[in-house]
Amino acid sequence: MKFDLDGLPILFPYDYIYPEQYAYMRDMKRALDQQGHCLLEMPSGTGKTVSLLSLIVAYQQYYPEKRKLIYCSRTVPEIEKALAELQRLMEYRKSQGMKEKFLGLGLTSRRNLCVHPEVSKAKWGQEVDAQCRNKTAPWVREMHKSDKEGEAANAPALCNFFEALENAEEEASMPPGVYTLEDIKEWGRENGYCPYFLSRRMIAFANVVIYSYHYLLDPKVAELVSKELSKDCIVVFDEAHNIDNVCTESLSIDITRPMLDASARSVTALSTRIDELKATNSEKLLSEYSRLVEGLRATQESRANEEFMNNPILSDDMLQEAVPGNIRRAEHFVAFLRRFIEYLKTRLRVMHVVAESSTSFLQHVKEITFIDKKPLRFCSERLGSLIRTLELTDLAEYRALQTIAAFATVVATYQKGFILILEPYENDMDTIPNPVLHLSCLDATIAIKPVFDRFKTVIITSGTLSPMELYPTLLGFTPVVVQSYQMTLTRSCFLPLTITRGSDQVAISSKFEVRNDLAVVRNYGNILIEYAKIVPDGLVCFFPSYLYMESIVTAWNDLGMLQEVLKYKLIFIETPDAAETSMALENYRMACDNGRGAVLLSVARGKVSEGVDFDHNYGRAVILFGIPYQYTESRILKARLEYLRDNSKIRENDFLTFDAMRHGAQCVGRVLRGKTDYGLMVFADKRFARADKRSKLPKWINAGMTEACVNLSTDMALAMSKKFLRSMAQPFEHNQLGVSLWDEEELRRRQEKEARKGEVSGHVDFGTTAMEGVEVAG
Amino acid sequence: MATASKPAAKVATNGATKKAAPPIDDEDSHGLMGASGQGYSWEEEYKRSWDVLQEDEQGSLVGAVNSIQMQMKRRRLNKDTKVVQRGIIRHLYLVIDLSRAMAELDLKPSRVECTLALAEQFVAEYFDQNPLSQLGVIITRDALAEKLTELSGNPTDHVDVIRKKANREPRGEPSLQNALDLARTSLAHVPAHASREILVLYASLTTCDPDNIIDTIDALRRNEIRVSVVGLSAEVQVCKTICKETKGTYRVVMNEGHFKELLFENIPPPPIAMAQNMSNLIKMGFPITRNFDPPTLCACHHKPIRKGYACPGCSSTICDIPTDCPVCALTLVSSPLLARSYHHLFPVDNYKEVIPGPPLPDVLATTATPLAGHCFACLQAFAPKAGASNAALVGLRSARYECGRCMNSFCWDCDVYVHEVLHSCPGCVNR
Amino acid sequence: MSCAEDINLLAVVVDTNPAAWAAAASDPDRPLDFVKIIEQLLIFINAHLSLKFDNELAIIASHADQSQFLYPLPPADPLDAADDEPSKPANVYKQFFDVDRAVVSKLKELVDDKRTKSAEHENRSMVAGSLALALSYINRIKRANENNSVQSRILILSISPDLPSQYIPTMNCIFAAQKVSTRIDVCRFSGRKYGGESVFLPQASHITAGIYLDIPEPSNLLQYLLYTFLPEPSMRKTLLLPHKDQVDFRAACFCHKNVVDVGYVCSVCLSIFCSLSKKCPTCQTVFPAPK
Repeated sequence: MKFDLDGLPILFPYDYIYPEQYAYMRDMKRALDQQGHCLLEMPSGTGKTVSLLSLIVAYQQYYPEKRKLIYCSRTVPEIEKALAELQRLMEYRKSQGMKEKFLGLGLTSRRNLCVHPEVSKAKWGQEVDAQCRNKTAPWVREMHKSDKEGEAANAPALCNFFEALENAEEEASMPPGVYTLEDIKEWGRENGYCPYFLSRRMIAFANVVIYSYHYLLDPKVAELVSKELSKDCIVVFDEAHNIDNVCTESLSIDITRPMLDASARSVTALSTRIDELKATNSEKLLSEYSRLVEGLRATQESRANEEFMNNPILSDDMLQEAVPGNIRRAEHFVAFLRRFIEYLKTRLRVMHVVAESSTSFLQHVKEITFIDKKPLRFCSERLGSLIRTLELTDLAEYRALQTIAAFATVVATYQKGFILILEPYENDMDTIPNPVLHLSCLDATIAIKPVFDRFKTVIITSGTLSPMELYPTLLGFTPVVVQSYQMTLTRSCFLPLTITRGSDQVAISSKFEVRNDLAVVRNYGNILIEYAKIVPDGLVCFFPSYLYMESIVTAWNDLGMLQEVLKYKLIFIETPDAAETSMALENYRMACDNGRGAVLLSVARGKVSEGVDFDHNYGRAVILFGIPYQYTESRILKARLEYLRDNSKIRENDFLTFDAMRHGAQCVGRVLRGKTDYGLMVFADKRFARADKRSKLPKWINAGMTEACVNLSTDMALAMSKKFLRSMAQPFEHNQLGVSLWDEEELRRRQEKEARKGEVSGHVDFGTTAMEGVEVAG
Repeated sequence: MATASKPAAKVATNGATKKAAPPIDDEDSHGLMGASGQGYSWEEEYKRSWDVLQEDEQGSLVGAVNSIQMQMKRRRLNKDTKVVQRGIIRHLYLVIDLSRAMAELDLKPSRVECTLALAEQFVAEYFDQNPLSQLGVIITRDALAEKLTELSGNPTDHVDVIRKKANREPRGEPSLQNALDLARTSLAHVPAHASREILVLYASLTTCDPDNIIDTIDALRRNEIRVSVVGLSAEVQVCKTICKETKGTYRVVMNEGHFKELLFENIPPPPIAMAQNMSNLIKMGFPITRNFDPPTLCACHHKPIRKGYACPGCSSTICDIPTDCPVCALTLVSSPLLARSYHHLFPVDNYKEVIPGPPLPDVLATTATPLAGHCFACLQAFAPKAGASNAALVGLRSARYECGRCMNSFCWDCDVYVHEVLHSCPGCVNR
Repeated sequence: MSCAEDINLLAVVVDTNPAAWAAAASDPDRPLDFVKIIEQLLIFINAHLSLKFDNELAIIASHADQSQFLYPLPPADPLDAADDEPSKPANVYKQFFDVDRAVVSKLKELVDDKRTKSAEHENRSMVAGSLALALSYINRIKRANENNSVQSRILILSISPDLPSQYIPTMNCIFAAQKVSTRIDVCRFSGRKYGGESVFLPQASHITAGIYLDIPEPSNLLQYLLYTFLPEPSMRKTLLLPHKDQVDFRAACFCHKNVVDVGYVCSVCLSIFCSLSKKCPTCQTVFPAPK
């Protein structure tokens, strides 16, 4: 359908539009017009992606600036889904007569895009990366080009696809269109170009780029990929409820003893190689030295294709100076590295927990090894240049060394917002030491603030962004539009219930003190058994942590409750191992499809809750056992909380609850994917009944929770669930014109009405609950 | 037949006005959610189930009961009365789930009791409406399927076997695939002109199958067998798939009354697509009654009978019709049996509700035909539209329905009677 | 036993086909006088009413082109409100008086009705329509008296031939009657110039377990009525009643109207034919070629 939004013509690829989609588009347009950032929470299953894309593409094509859209998503399946939606949208636009030259691309890691017959067969992503770099490193190509006899034979073979791409002229670009990952691989194969590098190259020319968060937030890769994006690009972070964690994790580094050992070995290898080179071709080393003296930095071109030795810090924080003298010569630098690694090894021998700031760490370093801050800051860069000079070919071996260099650079660059924690034992109960040195970023703004500053419009959207007041503080930006939408429904297709006590009236909770209490365990087990009896097909359960899940499942087994559940459904469990989990998921889906029914036990912060959808019969009910708090004894968490309290004035309790509830809401939202889908959401913990927890749930879930659904005991909840399931199984009319679905006529009518109201009051608000005549759930 | 069943849905308050009607009717969902937006019926029922019926000012429940009846009537009114080809000669297997889930008590007195009682009624009604059809009964429990009766046209066989105590105990898990396979193999040798159907009454949420049920579904589709499922607890994906693939219907019951309604929805023959090569001239015999003195043995059961029929094809003695002659396999029927099915082919059109409009100006009043003051069929007087006080009470009495052909007015009772039992409009017949 | 409290409802369908009665009046062998027949019928009706206080009654006239209730009168019928009604003789039971008066006057009205003059010469009667009205009335009475059980039966005084076009409605009514356990009794008049064999009516009484009686001597109608048709259904098993031996349930083929023993039935429209053909004449369905 076509409609007009404040003068902007929009083509929407479906005949009907939900009221919340319209409101979403309208608010987003406001943010775009005002060139400010916005924070939008839109319930899952209401066509968020298609509304977003159709608005932004319309905006882009209509105004002359043709602002590029950068759409960031979390996982590769999501990127693929978004590309597919974009393809559909563009086909629709074409069918409506719009003639546009449009290029839409996606970018992911080499693992997903490599078409080289040998390299793509490697098992691990890192292996693919390493092999690719081996084939595309500039010195390797040099070797082949200059065709020196002995050397060319020893060097690894070149990648034909890459070569073809390099040799192609500038003008040879891809024909316009939207390419999904499969499409671009196909195209690459046919024309002999490497899809990965092709995508990277074409980013500059594309209208829409879809890739993962890391390409914008992680300094290690952002430089390469996103350097040339202009200021007025529109950036969208989708499923961004966890974005602060992504930011902190991209700057955090962990160091273990094996890593130090490996890097020591690498250093030895480096020094051997240096000696070799000095003997044969000392020219190279000299030229490197002179370059460094003059402070010339390597030109962009030669570095364009290497991510291996890229700076782990943001470009603005890099010193615009020449490399300091004490590491200019290769041998000196190698000795420097050796000293630093030895120092770290000594630090790791400590048997008690140490937590200190970067400043004190650097001071200690200086005291012991006389290593200054400045040379540490240049570590990564220097190492990169050394490796280039030495023309090393087996780059995978130097990975550990790279981490150490990155660590050095980061710890030396940032004074605030980091903490170093040394933990000699993995868990507090262990007796065998396994020391880890954590360099944790505590401040999410470090990574993301540049993005907000650089781009004029950044849109953060997700299905579960509540409470929304915290995000601006956490991420350090000021949004101009903050909105939360509800689902408009003719029948309420989800039922949130809060069970606070069992049938024996004992309060249930996953609180640490009571979680091993027999009555509580038994009550939780009862909930599982009873729900397994009444819920058809798939039932998903989330626990706060692996530890808790293991302990309670063992307890259930001892009580014989698992046997009881097996009578009604098969049981599958998520483990930290990805392959096992995906097999479990596959079998779970099969069981749901063929009538056997299955229960999936998983963890609220695991891979399943992040990425997997349980739509329709795969998830008819989701049970949240307890509140998914983080492990509150973790020192990193404690440090973060302290930092937030001191800097952003966020109370610890608030943050913990916020974090727990957003994960909980995310888990619970997995079960609903579309308006014809229905599902039960069960919150099983007495603490969920409290107002402070309830208020942190997204608006659309809260809207479905009536007074009767809070503070239930198990049997009451079961009675309500049974009735709900029966009534949801009745035939449902899909067209609810005028109520929760609008066609062009209806939309125009409402726009006119709003315009008239706007004239009268001077203020038009197409807000969330204030929708005339729209039946809102609950 | 239109008895007031236990009220299930929240009663729409009498003053409730519906919104601008969407083009598609959706009586069920409106019935569930109170039109005044007072919450959802499952909550209400939990809180105070006795509060569903609300008394009017005089403290009488008649109005509430009447409006429930009106809701039911509205539902029936919208049934399809188009003349469409239907499979009149049907072979149906009734599969009853006798697993542990049937021992639940949420349908009174227990699911299994309720189901079997309704199954008996279903059998009786089925043969009444489809006299040329045959029925067989299969049960499933302990992960096995057992055929209780073969396909036959005699209702008493099936009712007897349902009543046997041994067949009423729920045990173990059901096996949907085994039951469907058993029914399918038994339906394999049914002639092409008859429709092949399976009706499953399923209470369990799981099934214990030996193999991949997808294969069974493919086989069912290949053999053109139509499977319908009536679920007793919740919607199960595999049942949905089966019904979609075989073009059957899948419904889930809300309560006992709804169960009966859904079950009896399967009694009228289902519409059949014309494309299927099912129409044929079937050779049938019309035997005459004969009295036997001394009594002879009948060919079907080998029991002595005095009064019976003689098969016109082979002259063997048959005790009861309809049946297939065991000697020459000729289908034996009588013309009244065929006549029983005629009403499916020539249904009565729905009557339209007539709402007396404002009084006409005098000029037109004389020329317009005055509305009759009483029902044409039963002479019941139409009460004049009363004021708001007893509106509920007289609501039904003053409702008048008009036949589109003969233009006679009928009262609500007669409307129901004509459409459900009589199948002929008294006004149109009298022409 | 609840029989004592049962309400007996008798619905009488009187065939008032003018052409048939006219032919019957002039029949040389067994002439029938319509007025005498009605008189005897009224006596029978009075007897039925006097058996029990709450016995109910309905009388329907089955005319050549319409059916009408003779008793009870429709509400707001001008006859009721007539001011100049003849006063009731003192020693006549009110109810008998009402019935008699209603029947007689309504019949007169029916015969005088100008609208039906044109159809007078057609020898037919709307039996199926009358049966439908009777059944609807029975249904209404049953609904109104849900506390007591109502035993209902229908008596048809029939003189007209069967109307083939009314086969389906007649059968529908018969099955409806069977569903509510309403017996259909038939009192058939036949002579040389009128009546004749009926096919539908014997089937009706057979299916509903009623009595079919071909009146041998019309002048003794009252005796037959009182002895055969007056006893209520629950009494019938103790009496020895006339029954029709052989009811022929064979069908007539649609193409030639011959009675067939073995016929071919179209599975779509259920019409019966005596021989195979490529296409069904009724519903135009093409049949696959026989193998």
